[in-house]
Amino acid sequence: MTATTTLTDRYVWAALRSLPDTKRADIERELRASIEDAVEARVDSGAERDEAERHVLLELGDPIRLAAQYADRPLYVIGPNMYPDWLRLLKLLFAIVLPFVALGSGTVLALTGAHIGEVIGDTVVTLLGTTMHLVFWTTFVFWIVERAGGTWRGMGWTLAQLPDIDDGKHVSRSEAITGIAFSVVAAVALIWQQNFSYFSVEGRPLPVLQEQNWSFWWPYLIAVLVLDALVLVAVYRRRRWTYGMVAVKAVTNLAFAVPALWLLLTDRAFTPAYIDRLDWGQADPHTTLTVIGVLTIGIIAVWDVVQNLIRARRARG
Amino acid sequence: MDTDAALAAHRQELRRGTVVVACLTVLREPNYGYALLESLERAGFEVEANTLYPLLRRLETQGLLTSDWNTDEARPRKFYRTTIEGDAMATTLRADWAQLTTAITELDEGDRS
Repeated sequence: MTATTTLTDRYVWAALRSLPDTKRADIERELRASIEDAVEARVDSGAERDEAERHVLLELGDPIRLAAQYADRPLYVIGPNMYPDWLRLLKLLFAIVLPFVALGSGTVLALTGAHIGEVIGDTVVTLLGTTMHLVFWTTFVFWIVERAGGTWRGMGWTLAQLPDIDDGKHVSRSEAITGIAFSVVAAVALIWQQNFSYFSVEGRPLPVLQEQNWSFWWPYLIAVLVLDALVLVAVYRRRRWTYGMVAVKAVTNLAFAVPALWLLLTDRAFTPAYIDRLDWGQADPHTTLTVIGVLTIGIIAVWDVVQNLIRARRARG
Repeated sequence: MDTDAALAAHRQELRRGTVVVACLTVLREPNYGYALLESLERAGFEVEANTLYPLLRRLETQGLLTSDWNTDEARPRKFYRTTIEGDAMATTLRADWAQLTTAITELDEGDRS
């Protein structure tokens, strides 16, 4: 016996197919009865049967919504309860992971002899990929927790999490952390590049920066970087920049920048053997690296002092 | 949001809690889905079918309603009835309701005097 499936049949099937078997039969029976009752009522007041059926089903609305109501399922990915925590975690991950990924990818690519265009392009692609992964996996975990039941009391907001006011006068925690992290990472990178390299000669890694400078210059720079970080710690404790601290930071900046620039400009920075192995197409690696190095160190050193001066001035007034 | 939309939204908020009390109260006499929908609408409660039917099941899961399939007539229907717990809860909720009415009235009159 073949029966033509009616609209009601299709509606009921669509609404209830996602429900567990144990409930489904009973709900289906009741829903069909209710639909029939409603249709009959309309027919009794003069409507055509088909028209009545259409109207009733339309009134019942989107079967997915109905199913969600029956199953007590939330109609969102992440609810208002968990949303603030999700957002906070995501921002934290972005702030920490992305800069490292960008820096790491860019550096590795540049130092393994990639084309400059490749360096930028690949880094951008890597960043995009990383961003998407961060968003996806964070959201996925929260999606699961949202549906795992139990009450989510949040990751606990404490007063200590209040952000420092960024009014340009005071040194905020994130500012201090960024500055200190910068110095620490630079110092670590100096040490790291000595022992790890893409290229190797006679079984030993070929460092990008000249090895002989380890007798004085590289340790000196590392010491200055450490000093730099300490100055920032002191400033953070004072909570604001004073002209005195600006002067001290300017001295450490100079103590770093002047020798570094000198090393760069007198060809004492990069290992020639390393440079020779780089293939950057049209650009001459040595000149390019020197220029980049000089500009970066010079600009940062000066800009840092200027910024601190502005802050010191604001803190006073 | 213009005034009409704001009014609609606030009205919906006001009505949202009332359907549960209404159901628990009116189902002291057993009734089934569609008929309940009709009598609630006649009494002035604007409820949609896609809200009411799942709500009845939820209240049953919470032990506030009990159900029975009635096969007396040609079309079998699922009849719901308020349980003792449901009745007790309805009484509490109605008392809350009365308290709120008094409170609002006092606020209103207090304001005028």
